[in-house]
Formats: sequence, C-alpha cells, structure tokens
Amino acid sequence: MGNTGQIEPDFRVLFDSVPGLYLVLSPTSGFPIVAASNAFLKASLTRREELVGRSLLAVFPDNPAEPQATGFANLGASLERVTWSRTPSTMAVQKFYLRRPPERSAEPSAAGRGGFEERWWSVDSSPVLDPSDALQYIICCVQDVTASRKVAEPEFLREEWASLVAHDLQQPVHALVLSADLLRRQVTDEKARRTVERVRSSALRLSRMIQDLAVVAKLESRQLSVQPEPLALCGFVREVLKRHPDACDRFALDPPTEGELQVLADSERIEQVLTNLLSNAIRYSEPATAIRIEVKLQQSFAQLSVISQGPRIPPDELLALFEHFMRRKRLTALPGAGLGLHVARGLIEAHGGRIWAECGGPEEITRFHFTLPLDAQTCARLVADARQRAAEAAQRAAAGESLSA
Amino acid sequence: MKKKPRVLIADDDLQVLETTAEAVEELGAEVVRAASGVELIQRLTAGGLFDLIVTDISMPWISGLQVIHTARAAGLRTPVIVMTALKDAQIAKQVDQLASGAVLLRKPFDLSNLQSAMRDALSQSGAVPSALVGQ
Repeated sequence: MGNTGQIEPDFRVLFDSVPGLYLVLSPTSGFPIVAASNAFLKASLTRREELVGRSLLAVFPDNPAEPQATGFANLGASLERVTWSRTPSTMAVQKFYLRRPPERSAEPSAAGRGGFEERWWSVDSSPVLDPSDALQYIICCVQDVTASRKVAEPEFLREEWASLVAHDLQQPVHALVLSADLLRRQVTDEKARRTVERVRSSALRLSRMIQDLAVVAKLESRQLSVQPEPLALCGFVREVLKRHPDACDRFALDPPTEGELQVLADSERIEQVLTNLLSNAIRYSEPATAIRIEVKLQQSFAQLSVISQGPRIPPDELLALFEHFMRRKRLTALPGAGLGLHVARGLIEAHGGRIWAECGGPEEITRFHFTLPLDAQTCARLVADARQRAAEAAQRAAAGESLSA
Repeated sequence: MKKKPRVLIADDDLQVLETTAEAVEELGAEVVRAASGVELIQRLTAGGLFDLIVTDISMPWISGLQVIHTARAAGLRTPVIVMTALKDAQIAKQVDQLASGAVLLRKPFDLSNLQSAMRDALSQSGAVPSALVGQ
C-alpha cells in the first residue's frame, strides 16, 4: 500500500475540471482574468488562452447592436462592489451576449444577434482575502439558466395575453383620468370638485393595480426583466413623493450622511415599488402621523426604508406579506388585491436587491426596507474616500510613532 | 390676437382621441384628429403644417412610431409626443432615436403631465409657440 494520503493534489487540474462555471479575477483595474474552469470556457464560447491575463470587460464586450445588453457592464459594477465592500455580491438573472468565435461567426441562429449569442446568467461574486485580510482574488460563480428561460409556449402566451390585456385596460382608465382632470377645471362647486377628484384618484389606483397584475404575469412566466441605469436615489424619491399630493405633508425624507447615492435601477419599476410601499403606509398607518422615508448606505447597496406607525403585524406574518396573494388577516376588509408587496419583491429581486419588513417598538412602528445596488461610479467614489481615510489614518499613526520615538 | 398653434393628434381608441383632443384644446391649441396610423399619414401629407404631433404607438396596420420614423426620414422635423400604455422598456430608446423634439408620455397622464410634455417637445425642437404652453 502506498501512502496516498501524502500525495499533493494538482489543484490547477482540479479547478479546471470542477463541474461548474467558475472564473477567478484579480481585483485590479479592468479585473484581469486569472483562471477559468473548463465548464466556464465551454459555456462562454471561449478558450483559456483568450482569457487569462486579459481584462474581463475587454474579453466580453456587451453587444453594441443590442440596447438591452448591459450584462457585463452590470457585472463590472457588481465586482466594484465586492472590491469596495469585501463582501459577496449576487446579481439577479440577466441577459448576457457572448461573441461567437470567428469560426462560427457566419452561423445563423435565432438567439444570435450580430455575431453574438444570448445567455441568461446569474453571477455570485465572492472576495478571497489573504491572511492579512487584503483582497487577493474575486471568484465568480455563474449559473446558466438560459434553458429555463425558454418557457413552454402556453406560459409565454399567457404572459403576452396579460400584457395585451393590461395595455387595453389602461386605455379607458387613461380616458377617465384625463376627463376627470378636464372636468375638475370646469367645475366650480366644491362638493362636485371633491366627487370628480375621487373619480380621478380611483382611476389612478385602478391603473396601478393593472400595472401590478402585468408584473405578476411576468413573474409567473419568468419573463420579468428590468433595465437598470444610474439613478440619483434621493432626487428620484423627492420627485415620487411630489406625485402623492394628498399625503405630501406627512412625508419626511432622511437623506444619507454620505450625500446623494447613485444606484443602478429601472426608475419606472422602482417608482412602482415605492408607490406601493407609500400607498400601504398611507392606508394602514394612523391618520395624520408622519411617514418617514430614510435612505442610507448599507455596504455596497443603498437601503431605502418607509417607516410609519400602524397596527402591529405578527412576526410570523412579516415574511408572508411578500407572498403571492397573501393578505394580513386583520386587514382583509380593507381594499386592495394584495399584490403590491409581492410585486415589490419581484421587482427588487430583479434588481439584485432585497426587500423585508419589521414591526415593533412601543409605538408600533412598521418599517419596510429595500436595497438597490450602487452604481460603479458611486462604488469607485466610496472606495477612493475609504482609501483616503485609511491613508490619513496611517499618516497620523506614523506621525504618532515618530513623536513617541 | 396670436394665431392658435395647430396640433395633430392620432389614437385609434376614439375615447382617448377625443379626451386628448379636448385636453389639448383646453391648453389653447387648434386640434386636427386622426383615428389611425393611416389617417395620421394622410393628415401629415395633406393637412397643412402642424406645430406639434401627438400620437399613440399601438394602432392597426401602421404604428405611430413607424409613421414618425418614416416622416423623420422624409425630412419632417415637427416636434412629437409619443403616448403609450405599453410598459416595454425599449420604447423609451425608440423615442430617443426620433432625434430632437420627441417626448415619451406614459398613459395614464393628466393635464399637467400633458402640458409639461408639450413644453419639453417644443423647447427641444427650438420652435416654441408661446401661446401653446403659456397657460
């Protein structure tokens, strides 16, 4: 018998052969590729010699012919977050375009566009720290869910049908909103004006419900996608608050101490989330109490919280709030289809963020929080600030040592 | 007395067409109506000059966007407001591609949304008939 326990395994061979899509990057400018598993090479239509030593974003440019192709740019932002926060970053499933190898560039393909092939990936990126806690590598684990995105035809048709119905329902609702607005200008009697205002606000509520239904249909058929772009969060929140004139005097915005935070978000979708949370806060909170909207930095994310005072939510119902068609038992008599929080969770998770609720304290404070990833520019600014602070601290420490010496 | 600006409005939903027309008239403009993409083309070619076009996207046979793309290719630079109840994120990019003087307006919108969209469309194109947005 040989002493097999003493054999040093060839970790390079083991890593290359691992049955998963793994990529190792250096946390320096452009994120040069250090290693890639064979499975990743196969899935990404590349060869090892084309990757190793080259910048990730140079090897994988987004498809210039496809405006929705922001997968690798978003991955860059996710890696910036790992670099800055030294914590893992998870990207929700999104579309990536892979450049076909030259020998296959003329090949016709339904999925290919302009020499690119479409893939649906989710990417988990984790920091690798050395014994002194310095960031040494970033490991990316890629899940390829392209096959599961190709949903069965009836499911796809159902989503298409729901989108069509949503569009057609919005037409008469729009006519209602605009007609009520015109009528409001013409009516002089105060009581009649209030009646017209009720017609208008009910039509707007109906419009939001239709939007929520359309999102639920997309969630169920796994067709929900978002178009994240850099968005100045506090400025955006102020604009959304202005669109709730009936409760404007109850809102108070607490901006972050770090100044404006730029996030990667689809503004229309995040407005839908925020409007759902604000509508809930208005409907369920004690009348005339303040509704605080707090924005703060949380690692490499911006965290937005809607804080109000209302009936206690039992702890076991806090998670269930975000489930499909779940309603709080005590509040079932109140209007609403109960879709809002389910829709909010779907939209926030599609951004790579998280949403949750807390309730407690002597004044029965309810807090709804969600997070959105910071954009690469904000991450870079925060990294630079942190480095400057560290350098200043080191200088002060050195000055202190030389004084004591 | 200043001449009223002329606005061409196209929507295949007659209730929406009539309501939007009334709203634009309320803001001080003269309105010409088109109930389809084909009527939109007819009014553009034979209806005289317009200061602004307000069009829906989804219309049978030819969409509002297709008409405006074709009109832009033919050299027409009239400011345009594209209104839609569609949620497709691509639409914003398609409207951006219409070059200056193109504004996207999501349904449902109210009078103040309409008025600011008109102000944006006209100021982007540089041709601002003040009577239209001076309410």
